[in-house]
Amino acid sequence: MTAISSEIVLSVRSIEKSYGKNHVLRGVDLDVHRGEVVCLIGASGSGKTSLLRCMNLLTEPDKGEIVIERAPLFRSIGDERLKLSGRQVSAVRIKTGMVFQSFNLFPHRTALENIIEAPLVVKKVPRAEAEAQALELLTGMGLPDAGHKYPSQLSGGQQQRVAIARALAMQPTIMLFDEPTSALDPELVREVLAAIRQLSAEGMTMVIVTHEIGFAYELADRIVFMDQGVVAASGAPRELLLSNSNPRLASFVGRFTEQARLLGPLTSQATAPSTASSNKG
Amino acid sequence: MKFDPSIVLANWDILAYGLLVTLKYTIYTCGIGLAIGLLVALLQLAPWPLLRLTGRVWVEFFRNIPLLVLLMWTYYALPIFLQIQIGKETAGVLGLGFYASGFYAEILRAGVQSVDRGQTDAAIALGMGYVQRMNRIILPQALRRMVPPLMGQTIMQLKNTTLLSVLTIPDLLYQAGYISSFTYRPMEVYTVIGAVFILLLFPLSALSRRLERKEAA
Repeated sequence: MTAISSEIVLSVRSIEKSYGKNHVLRGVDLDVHRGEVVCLIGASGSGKTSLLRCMNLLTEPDKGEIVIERAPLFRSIGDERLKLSGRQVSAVRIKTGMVFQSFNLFPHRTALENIIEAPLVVKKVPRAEAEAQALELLTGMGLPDAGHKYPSQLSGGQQQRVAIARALAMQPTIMLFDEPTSALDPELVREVLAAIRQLSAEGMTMVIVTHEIGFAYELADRIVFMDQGVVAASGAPRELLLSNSNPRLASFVGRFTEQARLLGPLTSQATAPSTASSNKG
Repeated sequence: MKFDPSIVLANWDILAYGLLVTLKYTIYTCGIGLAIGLLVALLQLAPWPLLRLTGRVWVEFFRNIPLLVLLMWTYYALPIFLQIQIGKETAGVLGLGFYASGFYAEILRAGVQSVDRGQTDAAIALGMGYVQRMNRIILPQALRRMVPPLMGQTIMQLKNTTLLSVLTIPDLLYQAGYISSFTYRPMEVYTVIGAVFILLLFPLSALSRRLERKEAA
């Protein structure tokens, strides 16, 4: 784990959101510190994706407050409501980089063009500079030769890594991942998780909505368990996942530990043949 | 009775004039239809319900009124309602243009809405404003999908100009009637007219089909 500073990068307070009668967020508070990796887990419909989308105001909450690096992005408390222009919202929003479940690469643009698009038109970075940076990012994602390819010519795992590079190109302070591996074939999950792991090692602040409990356990500094629109439990991975304080969390985690227990014999068998062969030799 | 197209060909100048009129009205009314259609599509995509409703009403009105009724109404009824004089040319262009706008608006709206919501999300998350998103991300993807239906509608539009003959606008069909009236050869005249329309539109249809295949690939 990299060092986490006490500085709060992103803060959400009393976030509430309803879709019609469906009250998906019922007052969520969350602080994310610089360098921290927070994993949001919970069942479908628990509000974790809605919460993530509120963090960069892709979804506008009904009530609450969102502050990124001391800059207010949203505030609606009682009768007080902060009015920001589209430009002001955008200026705060680009401190975040978002990676989506279904990648959402621009299909009419090559990988390289996807990455330089926002630096070019939003930040007005000169093209040569943007391209050099994009190539560097692609190389960092293990895709040095993918620049001229269109998204349809790339595998899901490659597309998601391009999407991560695209978000990084805006040099965000915090990365938001919305179930980044859920749309991937199982064999492609690993390469995307490796890319995220690498970002964590570089000290990137991240909020990750994920169903990969094992990954969350390994990578997160803090796991937040959401249930019925609130933070039902939160803490360091080990303590949280092992604690039995919240029965719904216990049953949620139970499914995964049960799976791990059932697969346990496989891991011991996997090592057995190699030992046998080395004995022979 | 022997089929003798030479009678028609002897009056080719009358038909050529009709063809020019048909093409002229097709271009005018498609232009008006696209311009108004774009505006109405934007209304339908607007974030405010009142604007969306306005766009919706426009589309429903012109998509549901029979074109012949609309043309008759524009030429005979509208001038009385508004106490103004409208020539048949103006009435024809307005009627046909407004009619087309309803269909074009739907094609444009559906094209924009067919682009995955995730594309907008991604563009917003990257800090792009409305105009940047539309110009650089949404419209380039939507336009490709719009081309085949837009061509189809334009073909319809050319065929619809034949209804202008009821307002005595000398389009291809009206001219055919005229030739037939003094040659007494409707068989030859209308056969040739039919052939001209098919020869005119077949390449357009073929092109549209090709674009559709390219789009699907």
